[in-house]
Amino acid sequence: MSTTPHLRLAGPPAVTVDDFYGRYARYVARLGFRLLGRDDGLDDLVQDVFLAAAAARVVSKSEHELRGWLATVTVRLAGRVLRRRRLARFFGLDEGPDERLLSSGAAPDTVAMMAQLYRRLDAAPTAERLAWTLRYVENEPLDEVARLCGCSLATAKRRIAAVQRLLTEDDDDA
Amino acid sequence: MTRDELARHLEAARERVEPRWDEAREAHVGAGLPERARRHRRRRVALGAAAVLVVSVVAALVVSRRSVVRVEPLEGATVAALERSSQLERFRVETGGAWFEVEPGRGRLVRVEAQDVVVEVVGTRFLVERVEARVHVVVEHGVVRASARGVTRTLEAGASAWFPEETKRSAAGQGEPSAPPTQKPSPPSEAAAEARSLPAVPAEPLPLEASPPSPTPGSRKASPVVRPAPAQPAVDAGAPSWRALAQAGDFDTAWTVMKAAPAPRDEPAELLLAADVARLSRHPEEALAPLRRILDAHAADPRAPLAAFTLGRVLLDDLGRPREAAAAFERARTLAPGAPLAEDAFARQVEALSRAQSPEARALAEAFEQQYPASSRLRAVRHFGGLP
Repeated sequence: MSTTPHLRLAGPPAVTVDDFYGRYARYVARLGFRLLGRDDGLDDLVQDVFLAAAAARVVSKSEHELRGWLATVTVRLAGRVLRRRRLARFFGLDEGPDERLLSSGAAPDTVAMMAQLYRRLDAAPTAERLAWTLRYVENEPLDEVARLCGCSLATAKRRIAAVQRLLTEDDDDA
Repeated sequence: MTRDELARHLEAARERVEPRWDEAREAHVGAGLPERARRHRRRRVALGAAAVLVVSVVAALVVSRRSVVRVEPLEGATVAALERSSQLERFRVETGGAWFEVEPGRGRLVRVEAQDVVVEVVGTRFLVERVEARVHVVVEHGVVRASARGVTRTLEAGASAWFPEETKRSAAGQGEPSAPPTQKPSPPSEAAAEARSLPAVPAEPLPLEASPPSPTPGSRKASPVVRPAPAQPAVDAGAPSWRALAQAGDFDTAWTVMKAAPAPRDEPAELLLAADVARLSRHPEEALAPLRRILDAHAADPRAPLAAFTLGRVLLDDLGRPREAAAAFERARTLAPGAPLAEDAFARQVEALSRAQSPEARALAEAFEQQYPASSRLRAVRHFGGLP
């Protein structure tokens, strides 16, 4: 990847986007994929996260801080993609999860299971879906979910519970 | 989905939901970063342009609904706004008088009524004042059409008229103006003077005007008109200054007194007044010096374009020196390029060049046609420019 001056990050010691990208692209891609539930749009999301990092002129932080910062940006931008998808679905322009787009080298039945899960998640409001995914798929603690979603702990709990109800409503009906 | 199913789904998800993210894909996505950055910048520019466009459209809509007229009533005057539509704004002067400044180029006709006089304009600044049974109209810049009882007169910049017209001037030169005084009997207060003065001009005496724009010597029977706000009161009631005499409309006596008095102060208002005294007392040659003084020493003054225009009129109409007049009109255009006066000056420059038999007249007429294709003066300009 070529380094361009406008993508150089600020702060001593300087970290170029190339360095940054090389270190964290996989982490961002994994988180983004789990939030989106699909492979399409993932490349754009990863690029946007690193462009946001360049624009924010991130100063080098500890490994933990940098990951946390990237996760926050990824959640925010993934939320934007999901909202756009919901809008497209409303107008019949998005057909929802496609099993072929759910990548991984998983067995077909697992892929089908994931497709079913994300199809149900598509019905949830974006903010609630993000909170639930972070909590149960990413296994993040509740306070971290609240921080990544930019909401209070109570709100995070409420959002997670709402999706949980949505996903288990068959069981509840029974 | 049951809770058991969900638990199984989640377990699978945690273990299996992974993107196909290999080195080749990572390199490919990374290589696309600069291009995506450029796309973001282009999108920001496009959004900014769209935002500017939206703001401009909204601003234009707001402005188009705003009045195109600024009304400055004289002290104690009452002006009623009768109508405002996209095509017309209509006012009526109930008592006293008011200055009206109309923004040009907005395509809205402005009509001011006073008694049975109707003044219509598109872009200009003018005074309409009720004085007893008559109405006085003074045009500072632009052109207005005033009509009363079936008689219509077109007044150009610097011209004034009384309705009904009075042709008899009692004992000309004897200090008895035939027109009713437009001033209140007592000297105006400073506040009144300020209220009556032009917006961009400090409380100084305003230029004096009388009669239509191109009177011929000897036929100056139109009633003299005193513009408001004299700031230089007479020193001695027994021997009025030329300024007071001029403001009372007695230009002949004012001329005699002015010749014996010290030279006018080097101020645009005073110089304009002196020029008016000279030209309206049939000494047009003597009006040139004060007007030229304004252009030489006070070119930045807001009255300088009017001085240049007046100079052009004196040279062309009174002295028959069209080549010099053309230069003066050109100066007026240069000093006020965006003002309505510029259009009048341009038209008169073509006329002056035509009268000087200059070949430039045609080219300038063509330029005028291009610049003011909807001008009411276009026909005359085409005539003077020899255009088919």
